[in-house]
Amino acid sequence: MEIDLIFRIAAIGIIVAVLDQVLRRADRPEIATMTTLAGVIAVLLMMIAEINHLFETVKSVFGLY
Amino acid sequence: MEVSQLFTLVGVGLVAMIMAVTLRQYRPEFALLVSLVAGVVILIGVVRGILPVVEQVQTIFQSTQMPAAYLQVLFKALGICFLTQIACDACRDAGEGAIGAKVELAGKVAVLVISLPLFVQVLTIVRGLLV
Repeated sequence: MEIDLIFRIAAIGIIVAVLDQVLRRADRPEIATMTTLAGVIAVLLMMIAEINHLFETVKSVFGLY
Repeated sequence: MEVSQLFTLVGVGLVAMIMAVTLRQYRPEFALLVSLVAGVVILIGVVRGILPVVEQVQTIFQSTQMPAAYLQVLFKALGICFLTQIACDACRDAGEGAIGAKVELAGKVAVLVISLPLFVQVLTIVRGLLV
């Protein structure tokens, strides 16, 4: 369901935040940055499917083809 | 839209807001993504709920003698407004007012282009009345 997507994205955000803090404390700031970027890219990929769904729904309801 | 659907959307909005506020202190970009996805999901629910209204208006419009193209233009403009609004609000929330303004401009131009035949009709009718 679409509502699960929001929870999944929030969970990924929290995990990335925690990993970011831990890696920074462990003197590895570059890996922390890469982890953050990987998280953002993963969330963007998950979002694109949902945005496509929105566009399809709007197109079909309002006859926008 | 039934009331149960409304409750779902309200709940989704509240929960997403809390999660976005929590994430903002640690990773502000994720807070933005959460709020954007929440907006998209809620808007999908809203557009699905508006379908009976659209059909009812179309039925009422068919009883009048005006060509159906007029109503089509109206609904297309409404759809364009929905999409432009979500992108514009997300840009402004992220502090990118300039990008939001450009997206809004694109939406206005799209609505103008779509309603161009209507303007031509009005001018033709007015010219017919004057001549």
